[in-house]
Amino acid sequence: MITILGGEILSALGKKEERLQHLSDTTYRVDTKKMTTVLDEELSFSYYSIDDEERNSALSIPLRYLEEVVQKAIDKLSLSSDDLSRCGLFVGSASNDLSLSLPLGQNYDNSQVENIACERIGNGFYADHLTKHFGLNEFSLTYNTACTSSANAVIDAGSMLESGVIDYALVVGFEMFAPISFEGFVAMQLLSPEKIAPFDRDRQGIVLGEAVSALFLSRDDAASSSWHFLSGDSRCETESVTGANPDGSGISAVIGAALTKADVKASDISAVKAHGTASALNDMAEINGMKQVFDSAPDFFSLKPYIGHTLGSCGTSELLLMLECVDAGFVPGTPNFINRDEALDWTPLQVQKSCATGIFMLNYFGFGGNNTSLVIEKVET
Amino acid sequence: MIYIRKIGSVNAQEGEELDVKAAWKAVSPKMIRRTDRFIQLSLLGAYEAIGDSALDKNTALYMASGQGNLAVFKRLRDQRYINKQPPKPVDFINSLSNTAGFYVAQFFDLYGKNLNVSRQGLVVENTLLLAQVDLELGKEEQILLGGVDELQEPVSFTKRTLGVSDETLLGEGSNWMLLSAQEQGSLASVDVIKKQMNITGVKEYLQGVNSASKLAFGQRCSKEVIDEILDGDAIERSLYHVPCGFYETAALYTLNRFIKEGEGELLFIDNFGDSFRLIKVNLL
Amino acid sequence: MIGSQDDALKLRLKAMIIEECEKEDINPEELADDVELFSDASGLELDSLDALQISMGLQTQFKIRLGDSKDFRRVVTTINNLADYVQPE
Repeated sequence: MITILGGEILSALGKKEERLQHLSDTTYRVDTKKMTTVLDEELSFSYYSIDDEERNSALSIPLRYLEEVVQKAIDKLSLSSDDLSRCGLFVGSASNDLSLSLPLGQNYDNSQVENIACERIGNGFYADHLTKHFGLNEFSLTYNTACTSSANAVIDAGSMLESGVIDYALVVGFEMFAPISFEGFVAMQLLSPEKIAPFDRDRQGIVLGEAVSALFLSRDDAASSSWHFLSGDSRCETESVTGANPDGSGISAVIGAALTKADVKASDISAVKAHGTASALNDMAEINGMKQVFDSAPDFFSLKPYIGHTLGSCGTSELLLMLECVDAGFVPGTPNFINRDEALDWTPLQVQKSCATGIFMLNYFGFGGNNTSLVIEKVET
Repeated sequence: MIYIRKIGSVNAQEGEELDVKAAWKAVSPKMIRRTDRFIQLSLLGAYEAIGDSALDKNTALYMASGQGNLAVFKRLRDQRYINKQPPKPVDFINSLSNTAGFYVAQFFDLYGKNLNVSRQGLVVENTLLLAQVDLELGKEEQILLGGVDELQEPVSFTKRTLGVSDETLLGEGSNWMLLSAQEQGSLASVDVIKKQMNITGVKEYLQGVNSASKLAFGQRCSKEVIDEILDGDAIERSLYHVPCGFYETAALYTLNRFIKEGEGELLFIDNFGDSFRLIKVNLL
Repeated sequence: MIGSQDDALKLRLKAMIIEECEKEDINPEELADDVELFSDASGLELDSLDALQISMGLQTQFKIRLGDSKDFRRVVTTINNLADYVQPE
């Protein structure tokens, strides 16, 4: 049995008491705007920045945040250095360019093109640093499958634990503001200028956000927990490079397979953490996919109005937020939902609902037709 | 232990002009649009392994890269900082590392798991170990595993970022293997040793390796490291060496060449700093 | 001169569309002025990603910004209609 031990998250929601208050009250805070200029016209979009007053130097931030969030998770779970030496590392991030884009962007800004930072380039940079810094087992991989990155990392962490190669797994979801990624979403016309309203009739698109989260998993013979990772399924559909088929066929395949692997029925699911990006087509595909598996609408919600769409980080970040909610005795509502969309028919939870144990599904879909569904459970202790 | 059913490689060295676009266009003129050189290189290598034969739709795709699609990133960077323009949608999509895997899956009509992974050093060994675990546990029945790295100009800059000497010749390649838990119809067995090791561990491990087994070393193994390993060994080892320009996933090229032209058993030893990984290949 | 009367402008628009959508095997001059670009009849086989690429081409080459997909569908119908929007008089 794979156990989920818990972890820590840095996001726009702030510290634990504050974020639980928001999740419990179906409120959130977003006070950052990001601008981009198109044809001399300044376009402005809401953005969920990590809540940090001390933030200044762009270059040192990623490593500082990563170290901070992993250290807090280690302290919270009282993991020893021996535990860590048996702990593999799985990093999920869509910002493969981050280790490169910061120094390069900086150099262009300073007109020092020839002085490009002579650092090693590549997606494994942060993982390598964390392994050395915390004395982890040397097994590590960095996942870059767009918005499913850290969710896929959770699945593989489960396999490596099951095989006994490692006894603990640290799964990190990592996404920080990256100008090129933000402007790419502008070019794709996927962003909402003001708010993110998943599944709402008048939804206008995504609001992006940043989050760094660290989640520890283990096996019940190494470390027990009331949270268990039952199964995960990941697959791709190749209808369109920009995402899931709106008919829901790809999504129903992945959530159906996740249920089969977990050996549970759709009716056993207490609640579904939807991907819920509030893009017109994602929400359509997601509801159509769920309708092919669930006979009637399950309780479902989207966490993106709380922390934004945190791309590669949303796998672990949203999983952690959900654990915290259920540990506090509820599943959250979906902020900003006002009007039912007749084309979707199903509506998300609008306020929190009591829930202390149960089997939960978490869904994630991304560019490249990459779809992932996780099934976890919390048992009574 | 798992099995290798098919292999395929595209490999070139600094100075050799590899016309990837023309080669891929000859295979699939329809899949040129929107794909860039990195994606075409990925497709071409996978095609070398699989050709026109049909793959089970549930075959998983694990694609590894040391550097990823850096060329598209450079295009986006120049677009932003020099031309002061937003990214083109197609460039933005191609900058997501898993887009190459999307096109490979589309070409072979796959709808299984589709991963894109990377690592600083030992990327092939760690990816292959994950694939081995997934096949051994029955999580997957068949995995198409590839390693793709593209040569980046200017080479002097790339050598510094890769941390190799100015004299080192760079290379690029797209090397693929079709992996299965079943022996039937396979070319070779492959076993990534699950234990992480330092150099002492490697020397101890070698004592149990029989004298007929050939040894190959990864490109990051220095002469000092190789000498230390061989000097401490009681057996006179025969070495297997494949000339190949440097790139992060070149280990797969060595394994594929051995499977194609070698015989018997190969022990492949690779390191990144103090960390070592071993892969055993047995031809069937 | 209104855009739909301006053959040089229309040829530039056609060349931009073919370039942005990487349809180099189609000769811009063979693209009809009155065919719906996003229909089977145009022979272009365009999809939503092509629409975004054309949107970007209009921005960078013609300094025209279409706010969202609704604006796009209203304006980018035929070459004649697009040309009239780009050059209303």
